[in-house]
Amino acid sequence: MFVIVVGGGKVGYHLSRELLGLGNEIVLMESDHERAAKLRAEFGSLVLTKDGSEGRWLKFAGVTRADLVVAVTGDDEDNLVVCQLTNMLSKHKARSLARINNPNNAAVFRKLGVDETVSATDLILSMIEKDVEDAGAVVHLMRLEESGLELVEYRVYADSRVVGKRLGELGLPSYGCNLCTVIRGAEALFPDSQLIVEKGDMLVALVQLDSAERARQFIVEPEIKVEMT
Amino acid sequence: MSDNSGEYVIVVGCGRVGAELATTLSAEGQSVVVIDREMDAFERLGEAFTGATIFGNAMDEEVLVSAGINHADAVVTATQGDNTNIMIGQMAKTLFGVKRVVVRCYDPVRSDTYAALGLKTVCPTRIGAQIMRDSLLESADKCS
Repeated sequence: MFVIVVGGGKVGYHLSRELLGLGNEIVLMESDHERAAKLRAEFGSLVLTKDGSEGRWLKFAGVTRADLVVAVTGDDEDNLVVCQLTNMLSKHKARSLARINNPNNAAVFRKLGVDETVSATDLILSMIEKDVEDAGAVVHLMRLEESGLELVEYRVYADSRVVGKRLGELGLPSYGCNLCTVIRGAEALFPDSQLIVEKGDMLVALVQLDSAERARQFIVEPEIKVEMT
Repeated sequence: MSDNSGEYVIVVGCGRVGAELATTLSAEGQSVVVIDREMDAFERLGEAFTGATIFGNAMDEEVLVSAGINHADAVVTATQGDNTNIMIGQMAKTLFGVKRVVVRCYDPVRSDTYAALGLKTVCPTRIGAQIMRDSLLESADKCS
């Protein structure tokens, strides 16, 4: 893939390195001469000391044959113009991606024809929100400091990987997690190894403090793979 | 020329040009609001200016709304950055439906590109160069 990266700050620098490492062809545009000189020490002739928000330099960089143009300068207005120019100049409609610093600009950009934006603020916020949501799934009932154990209640959501599985096949003890009871509705069920977990169940378990996070990830988070140690 | 007095005009950027324009429009009887993100910039406004000033970043929709963009007749962008002017000009036109938008763009190529997209751009570089060329020829005529 041929990628034009506009903006040689921290994001542009690391992005360029990664893209090269993955075997892509790149041109890195940075208009600040001092900054560009530093980048050239690593990327050599791949660095173009020109303003990527000027159409003629974007053409010079090869926008007409680019597969992707990534605008990652620190100024949203520059990133907007880079993407709009790409839409105009690219012959085969290269994909363009804009970094936005002000998350409110995602909607503004969309209305101005730039659909793909990435906001660090939004990304971090979404992760925080996820944590807050997960916190609601875990209730720390009691801590037994001396034995290094904690009594924890986990709520099982529909997207949890434990739904539909027999308790015996979950291997909870390998997460330092000893199940005491399964609360279903108003009923407390004996944790028989054949019992199948349903969504909405509350798993009450004695968990070793040092492996509590792995146990939480396993029961609560559907996507992330937990490495077995 | 039609009589445009009594119109509601927002001028973004209170540099030399922005301040001069805002003062002129205000003296001509138009309602003018000037936006700048530097407080000191408003000192450039002339005595004839009777409009309002808003301290803030005009790329922020809330700032534009507080400037009354929803009932503005016209918006002029004259900040130092071409891309800033282009972005705010497009916001005024596309997001808020302002009928008359004028965008300053120093770079002639960018000015042409966005003019082709339907944005009314003014390129001081080109205009300045033309005026200087004309007065150069004029002075040459006088000498000959």
